[in-house]
Amino acid sequence: MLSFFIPIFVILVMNVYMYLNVNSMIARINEVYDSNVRLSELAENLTAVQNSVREYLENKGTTALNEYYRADQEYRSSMDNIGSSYTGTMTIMQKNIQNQSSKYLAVVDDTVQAKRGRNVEGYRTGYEEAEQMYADLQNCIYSLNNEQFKINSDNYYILLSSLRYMEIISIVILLFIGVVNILALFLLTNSMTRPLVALSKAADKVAGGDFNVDIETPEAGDEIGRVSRAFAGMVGSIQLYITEIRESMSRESRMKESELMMQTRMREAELRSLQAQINPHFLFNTLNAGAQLAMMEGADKTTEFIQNMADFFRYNIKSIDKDVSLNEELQLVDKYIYILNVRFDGEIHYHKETDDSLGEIRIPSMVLQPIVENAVNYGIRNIEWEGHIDLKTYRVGDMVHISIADNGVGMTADKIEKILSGDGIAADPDKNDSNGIGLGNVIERIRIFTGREDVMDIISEGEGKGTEFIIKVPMHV
Amino acid sequence: MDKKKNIGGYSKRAYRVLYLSILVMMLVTIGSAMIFNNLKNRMPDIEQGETAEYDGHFAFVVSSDDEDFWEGVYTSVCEEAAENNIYIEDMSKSLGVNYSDTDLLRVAINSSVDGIIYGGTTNETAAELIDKAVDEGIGVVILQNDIDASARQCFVGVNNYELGQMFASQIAEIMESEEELKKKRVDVLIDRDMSEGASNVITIAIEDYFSENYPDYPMPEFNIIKINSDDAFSVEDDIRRLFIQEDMESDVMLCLSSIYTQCVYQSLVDRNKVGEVQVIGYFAGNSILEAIEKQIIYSTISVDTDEMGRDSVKALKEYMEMGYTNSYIPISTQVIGYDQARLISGQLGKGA
Repeated sequence: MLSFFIPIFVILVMNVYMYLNVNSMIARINEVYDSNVRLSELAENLTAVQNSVREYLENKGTTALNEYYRADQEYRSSMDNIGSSYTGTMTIMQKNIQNQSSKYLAVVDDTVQAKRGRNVEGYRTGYEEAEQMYADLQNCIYSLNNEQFKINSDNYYILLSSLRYMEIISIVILLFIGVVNILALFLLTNSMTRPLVALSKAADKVAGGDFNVDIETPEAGDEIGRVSRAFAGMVGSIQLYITEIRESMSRESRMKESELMMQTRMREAELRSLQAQINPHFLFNTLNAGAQLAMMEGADKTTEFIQNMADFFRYNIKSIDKDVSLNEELQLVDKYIYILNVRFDGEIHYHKETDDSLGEIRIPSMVLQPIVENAVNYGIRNIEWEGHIDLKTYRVGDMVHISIADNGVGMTADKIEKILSGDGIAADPDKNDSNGIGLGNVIERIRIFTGREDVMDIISEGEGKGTEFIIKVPMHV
Repeated sequence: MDKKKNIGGYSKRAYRVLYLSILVMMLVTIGSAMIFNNLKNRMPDIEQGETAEYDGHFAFVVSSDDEDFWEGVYTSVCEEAAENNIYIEDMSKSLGVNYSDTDLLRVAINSSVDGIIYGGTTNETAAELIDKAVDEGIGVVILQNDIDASARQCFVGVNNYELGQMFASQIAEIMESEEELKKKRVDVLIDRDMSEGASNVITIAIEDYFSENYPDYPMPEFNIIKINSDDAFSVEDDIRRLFIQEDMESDVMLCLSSIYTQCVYQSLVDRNKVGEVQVIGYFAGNSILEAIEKQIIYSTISVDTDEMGRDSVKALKEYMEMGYTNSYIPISTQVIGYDQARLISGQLGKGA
C-alpha cells in the first residue's frame, strides 16, 4: 500500500507547492504595475497641492488653506512610498523627485506664509517659482512613470511567460504522476487479484478431488497472503490425512490378507491331517480300547505305548488351529520320539536341554513335531552311524531360540534356501510316516504368528554333517 | 514450484518498476521545484533593474545642437564615472520632455545632484543658475565655452588664445597657398552669448601670430558674427542668412563650434560657394572629416573629447572630495587638414 500512498503523497505535495508558487506569481504580477500606480498617485497629490495653493493665493480662504495642509500631508506620505537611494536609474530618478519635492514644498510653504503675511511681492515670486518647480516635478514624475512602465511591461511579460512555463511543467508533472499512479494501481490490483484467482482455481481443483495443487503465497503479510497460506496449509493437512488413511487401509488389508493366509494354511494342515488319519476320533477311541485291553492283560509297555499314541493323536486333533505353550509342544515331541523309538527299537537318541523359564511362551501348535519328524525321516533314517537328535531352548535378547539338531545326512545350501523360501517343500502326504504337515507350512505359520520374516535358521555344514533347525520366536507376540 | 518462482519473479520485477517510477517521479518533482525556485529567485533582479550602489550622482547638461561632439564627450564622461562608481545622468534623456539646457540645469539643481557637468548656453540665466548650484554646494564644471561671470568650479576646454593661434596658422597656410598675397576678410562665427573678451582673445591671438610669424603679410580683417543658439534651428537660420546676403565678402570663415562648421559646410554646398570661401572648422566629426576630404572645408581644429570628458569627471570628483579643484583644465587640440583627414578616414575604414 505504501507504493500507492507515495505517489498520492507526492501529488498532494506537488499540488500544494505549485498552488503556492502560482499564487505568489500571480501576486507578483499584480504588483508589477504598483510602482506606476504609486507614481500616478504622487502626481495627483502634487496637483492637489498646487491647486490648493493657487486657490488659497486667489481667495485666502480657510477652506483652501486647510485643503492645502491636507494635500501637503498626503503628498508627503505618498513621497515616502518612493525610494531615494543611489542604486540605478530608477532610484536615482526617484531621488531626484524626492529632492525636488522637498524644495518645492519648502517654496510653496514660503509662498503661503508670504501670503498670510501680506507680502505681495514674496508670494508672487514664490508662486512663479513653485509653478516652475511644479511643472518640472510633473515632468520628472511623468518621465519616471514612463521608464517604470517600460520596465514593468517587460517584467509583466517575463512573469507571464514564467507562469506559462510553470503551467506546462505542472501539467507534465501531474500527467507523469497520474501515469505512475495508474501503473501503481494496476500493479497493486493485480497483486491482489492474481493470488485470489489462483486461489479460486486451486479451490476448484481441490473440490474436484485433485489435491496436487500449487498455491501461490504472496510475500506481503496482508489478508490475501494469510488466506492463501491458510488454504495451502489446509490442503496440505488434507493430503497428509488422506495419505495416512491410505496407509492405514493398506495395513489393515495386509493384516486381513495374512489372517486369511493363516486360516488357509491351517485349513490346509487340518485337511492334510484329516487326509492322513481318516478318522482320528475312531483311531483315538480304538487306541484307548487297546490300551485298556493291554492294561487288563498286564502288558505295561504296550499300555504305555498305546497311551502315548492316543495322546499324540489327541493333540493333533485338538491343537491344530490354536497357539500353545512351548511346554505342550515339547511334550508332544517327547511322545513322538517315544513312539518312534518303539517302532524303530530305540534307534533314535534324543537329548533335550530346555530353559524352564521359557516353557510358557506361546507358539503355534504342531511346529516342533514336524521338524523332528523331518530330522528323523530325512536326517538320520538311513545313516550308518548312530542317530542323535538334540533339542535346546534358550533365550537371545528378546527372542527365544528353539534348536533341533540332528547328526544325519545334512543339507545343501540350495536345499536350505528352497526350504526357507517355501519353494515346493511340502510334506509328502503319501508317506506313511508323516503326519502330513510340511516344513513350508510350519515356517509360514510361524511367520504369520509372529509377523516376522526371520523366524527360522537352517544350518548344515554339508553332506553327512547333520542339520540344525533354529526356530526364533519373540518372548511376547 | 517453478511456476511459483516465476510468479514471484514477475511480482518483484513489477514492484521494481514501480519503485523506480516513484523514484523518477520524486526526482522530477524535486527538479521542477528547483526550476521554480530559480524562476522565483530571478524575479527580484528583473524587477529592480540595476542594483549597483553609486558613490555619487552627476548631472550631464549640454546643448542639444552639437550632438556629435557632445556624444563623444558623454561617452568618455560615462567611462570615467564608471571607473569612479559615479552615476551620470544625462538630463536631456532622463526627462521625457524637450527642455532647454538652462531648464535642465534648473532641474538638476532642484534634484540636489552631487555635481553638474555643463556645456550649454552661456547666457545670464545659465550664470545665475550655476551660481545657485554653487550656493547649494553643488560642484559645477563647464565644458567648451566658459561662463566667466559664474561661480563655476572649473572650466574644461580649449584656451581661446591657443585656438586663435591655430586658426591663424591655417589662415596663413591659405594665404601661402594662393598665387597672389591678398588681404583676407576673416569672419569669426561665435555664440551670441560668448563674452566680448573671449572673442577678442581669439582675434588678438591671430593678430599676434601674424605679427610674430608673418610680419610681411597683410593683417587679415576680422568680422565677428554672433550666432543665436538659444532656440532650436536658430544656428542654421543665422548661418544660412549669412550666405543669402549679397554683400557677403568673406574669404575665410572661422567656426567656433562643430554645429557652425556643419551648417557652413551645408550652406556652401547649397549656395554653390565651394572654393569661394575657405572654412576652418571645429571638431573632427565624421561629416566634417568627409568635407575636408572633399576639400569643401579647408581644415578643422580637433578637440580631444575623451580628455574633456574624463577631466570634467576628475575635476568634479576632486571637488567633492577635497572641496576645491583647478579652475581651468586645458584640452589638447590638433589641426586636421586634407592629409590628416584622409589618414584618419583610412584608419577608420580599416578599423571598420
